[in-house]
Amino acid sequence: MFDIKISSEPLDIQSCIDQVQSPHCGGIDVFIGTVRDSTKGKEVVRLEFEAYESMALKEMQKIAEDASRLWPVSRVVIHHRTGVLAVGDVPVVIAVSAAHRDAAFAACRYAIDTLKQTVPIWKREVFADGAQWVAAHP
Amino acid sequence: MRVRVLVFGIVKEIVGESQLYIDLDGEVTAALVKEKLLILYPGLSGVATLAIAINGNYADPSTIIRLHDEIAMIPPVSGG
Repeated sequence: MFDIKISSEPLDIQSCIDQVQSPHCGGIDVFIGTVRDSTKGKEVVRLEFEAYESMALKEMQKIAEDASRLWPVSRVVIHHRTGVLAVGDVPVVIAVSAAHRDAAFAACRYAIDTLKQTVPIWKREVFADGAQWVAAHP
Repeated sequence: MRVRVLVFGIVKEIVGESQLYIDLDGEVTAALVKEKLLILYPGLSGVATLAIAINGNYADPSTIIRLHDEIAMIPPVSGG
């Protein structure tokens, strides 16, 4: 079971956990991304997330499918938020359940690492004195 | 062939629109679309990477584009 979602509303972490919970699973691993207050010493005022939604959902689905092929996991939830986020807000939640913890840890790690490489979502950092799209320039 | 290209992030900022239309003759490949956009918008050469997606899939430069394909230009991603 996979649940993939992009939403401009605040993410519901507990709901992600509840969705992956299952009687045959002995463990749930959850990754929660949080907006940090600074980057390279500069104070972050807010982050803005933009998505190519149809493709992002496809890529997130691929990640969930690949994770479950690589490890014996039961359920995978990947939720990403778009729009304006303040420091402390949650842009992404990934929850994975499995019979045993090794697979849950590994698959969850794989999912966030891969999401950051392939999913067409972009983050713009806004500072007091300007803004930049993360990683846009070499 | 008239090709519509969706743009995002820094590309959208440089180009000033969320989508563009370009006209290309002959066989249209992903590489050709990218090349044409770099000519039309030289500011794009400052972007670290520019991928082309066709119908929601990352495309090889040699992939041929057909009428009604949904094309997007993908700058470096930074989700999560």
